[in-house]
Amino acid sequence: MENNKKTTNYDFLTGIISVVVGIIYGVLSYNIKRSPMGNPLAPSMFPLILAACMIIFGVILILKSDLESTKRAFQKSKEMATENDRHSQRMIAATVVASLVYALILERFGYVISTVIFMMAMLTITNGQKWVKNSIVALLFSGIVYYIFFYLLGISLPMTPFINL
Amino acid sequence: MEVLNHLFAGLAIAVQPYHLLLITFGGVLGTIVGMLPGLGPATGVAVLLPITFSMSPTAALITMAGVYYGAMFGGSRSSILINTPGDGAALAATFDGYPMAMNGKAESALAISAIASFIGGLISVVFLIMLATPVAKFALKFGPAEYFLLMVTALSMTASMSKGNMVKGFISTIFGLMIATVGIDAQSGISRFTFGVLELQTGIDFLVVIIGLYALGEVFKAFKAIKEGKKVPQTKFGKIWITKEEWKKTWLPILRSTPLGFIVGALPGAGGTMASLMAYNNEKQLSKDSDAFGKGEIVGLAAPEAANNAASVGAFIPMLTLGIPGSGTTAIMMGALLMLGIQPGPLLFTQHPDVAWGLIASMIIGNFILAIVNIPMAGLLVRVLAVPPKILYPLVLGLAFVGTYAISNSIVDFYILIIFGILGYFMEKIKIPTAPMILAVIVGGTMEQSFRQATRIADGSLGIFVESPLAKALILITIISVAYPAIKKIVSKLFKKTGSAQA
Repeated sequence: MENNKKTTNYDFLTGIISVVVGIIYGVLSYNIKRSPMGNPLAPSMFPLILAACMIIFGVILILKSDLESTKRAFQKSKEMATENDRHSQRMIAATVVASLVYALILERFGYVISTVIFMMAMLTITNGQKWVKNSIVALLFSGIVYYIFFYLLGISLPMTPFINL
Repeated sequence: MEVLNHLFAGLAIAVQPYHLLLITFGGVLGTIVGMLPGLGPATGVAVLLPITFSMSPTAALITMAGVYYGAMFGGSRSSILINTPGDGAALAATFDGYPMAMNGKAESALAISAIASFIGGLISVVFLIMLATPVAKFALKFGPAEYFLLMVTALSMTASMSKGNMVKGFISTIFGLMIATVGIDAQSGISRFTFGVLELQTGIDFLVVIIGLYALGEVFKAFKAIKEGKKVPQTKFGKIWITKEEWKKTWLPILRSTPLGFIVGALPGAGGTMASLMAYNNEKQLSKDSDAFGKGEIVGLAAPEAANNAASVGAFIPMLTLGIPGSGTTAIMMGALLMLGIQPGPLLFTQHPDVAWGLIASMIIGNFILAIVNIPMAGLLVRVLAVPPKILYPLVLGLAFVGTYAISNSIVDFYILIIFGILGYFMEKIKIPTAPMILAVIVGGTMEQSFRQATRIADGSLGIFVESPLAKALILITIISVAYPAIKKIVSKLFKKTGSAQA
């Protein structure tokens, strides 16, 4: 097993996570309210089987891997990370924040306004601070999507307050 | 000749102008989505989903199917021209497609990939027509126990065929099944894993899970590409067609790769990527001139392209006839059908023949439309490759959010969407396949219901799962599919040993 020294993977960690998820899920499954009719354990039965399988597969994965590979993998990802990797991670973080804000404001400000804000934020993240181009794309997107959904497809989206558009 | 009657009825539905328009729309959209690096048919169908909510089931399904096989046509365009596969199924097209373009044969490459796609797709539709009704009729014999086992088989096959390793495939599957248990239990009315959140009582919508993984997750992964500079595709072409010699070389490989692709596509979990890679390797082995492969051999482009289109048609078999989607894309289509109140499965062909046969007939017409779109208009289409990803990705995200909102009008789904987007990104990092999880989320609910029905019939005994011959056969298939990689390893080791002993 010489080449084992070079392997890097997150299997050990994945196995641990699986076992933990399995145990938590198992405890939650066991604590599901008992069914008033039929077999009282019926609603927990299938989840309990899933919990058991998850723990078993997690243990298999732990046994098949070793802690060192995972340690190496973390080290490698730290050392090998290029400026580009870090940049894309920052973009992902920024996108998640923008999405959360979008979720918070959507029903308050209405679809059109919130979406213009969200798209502006997203385009600034990916395209940089090109305000004119970004605003045009953001406005067109939210206007066209709103028109298609509301008027052509008849799917209601949150309306803009005061003007009821 | 009942089948022909159904087919003609289906054709009558498919040629209605509105449906023709949708087939073209879906196909062209699919071609474009397929061409764009990082975006495959699953993302395309996921983003398109909300548009179908207001359509009839037939219209919704033919549009989404158009996107699916359209993406198979389109995927190879970017493989050939910029050496970047539009999706996994187009990976094999880079091996010889890009060298062909480098050798100044871009026209032949674009033409043969579209021709192979067309032939592969069309022949597969014939297979689908012949097989659909018998499979559906056979599936009607399944009781709850067999149906449960069938889902176990499908999920195990998906897990064992997933890239990376099988154990992680199973972990992904079980996690998906866990997600499916969230919400009020249909049989007892007891809420499970809702943590007091009102919106979770109806469960986590699998469409949101899919959009999260395929739209958000894929865009997250693709962010890296924004900085990596863009490759500029060739946009001026001569006549896009092939020579007689090229046709002589490729027609047999195309015909051979089609059934292969169809079968692989029909198996749960295998799909277009595996089909095209298998077809490529197969032709490479059969070829007298296998050294030419990888250097612009036209056969190496034609075979995988026929196979991946055949696979996309084959994937409809389990979804339509058994109600078990075999790929991420068909899973989304099944989700859309369920949303419109139609349950795919053995009864689909008797209860909604218009939907089933309308779809099948639309695929015949769709293949002709796409051949026209992809050959004479290829030069026009590839201009889409010039759309900068930095504009494109925000648009995909915007569509993902509006689609999610349209599903249930709930903000809570936004948070679930974001969570699964992040999860999709990290699953890729630690190399856990997402496909098994998606299939599990979709069949999870039905699977548990069948399990409980079966145990109730048998008064709590588990013996019912091994009683009928069909059940035994399904268990056997499951065991083989799980043990297959191990068996293969042992066999190859034995061969190596005897080989080295002789040497």
